Amino acid sequence: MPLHLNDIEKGLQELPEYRMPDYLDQKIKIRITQTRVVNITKPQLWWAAAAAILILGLNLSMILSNRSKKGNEAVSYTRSITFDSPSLISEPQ
Amino acid sequence: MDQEVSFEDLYQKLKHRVYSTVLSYLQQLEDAEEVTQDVFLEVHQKLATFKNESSVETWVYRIAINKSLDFLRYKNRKKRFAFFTSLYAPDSSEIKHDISHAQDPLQKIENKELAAQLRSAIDTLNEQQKTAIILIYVAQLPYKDAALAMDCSVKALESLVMRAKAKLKTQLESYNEGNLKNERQKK
Repeated sequence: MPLHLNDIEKGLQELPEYRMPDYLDQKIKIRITQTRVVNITKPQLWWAAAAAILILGLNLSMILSNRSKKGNEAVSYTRSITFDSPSLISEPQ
Repeated sequence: MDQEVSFEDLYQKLKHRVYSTVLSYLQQLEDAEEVTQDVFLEVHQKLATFKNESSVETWVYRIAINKSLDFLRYKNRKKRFAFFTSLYAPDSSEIKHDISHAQDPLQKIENKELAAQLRSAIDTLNEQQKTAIILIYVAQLPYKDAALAMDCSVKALESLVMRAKAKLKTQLESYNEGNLKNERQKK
């Protein structure tokens, strides 16, 4: 018996749908949960990088300001030895 | 949070049809499972950046089709390579899994054999025709959305489907003729 295009159309429309098996459903859910934990989105990464740079910058500026304070103290001490103190051997109190 | 909820909805809505689409494409259970996982992982990762140029379902099917095609191309490359290796190990031919036991409770078609014939005939279509038939009849996308997913006009898609149906008809007729001959020989 020759086939007609209508038969093909009917057959295609009635093609059964495969159902996703439960174990695959579970596998996908587990993999998505895992990526949620590990996944860091790009904006989050940018924020983290910006925060790290800010913290490093603050630390660096604190270190530098402490250094310059100590440097100033040292300079003033040397000056005091050179110009104010009669004895160069004497230790500061 | 909003993204997660919409992903859940999308996943629940499309999981069976996407699986069915990928399985119709690849015709192998294990491959279809692997690709379906990849499809939903990509959907989950990229849903936040999805631009509403098409419907979200069309976008998901586009991912499913692209992933299936990539997988098929990768397998074909592997097969070509396997041809050379098989010269040295002739028993290493690939085992094609039977998908007839795939869960199929929505069995509407009376003639299971016709469905099986139709599926194997779909597998013989060229890439474009196969995609068109799968998107229209398995994924059940409207022509407009299927055309968007395939990046072609609705008219082009319609003519693709027409040509695919004509080819399916020829294929099924040759199956039937083959079956008739076999029956006559048995008698």
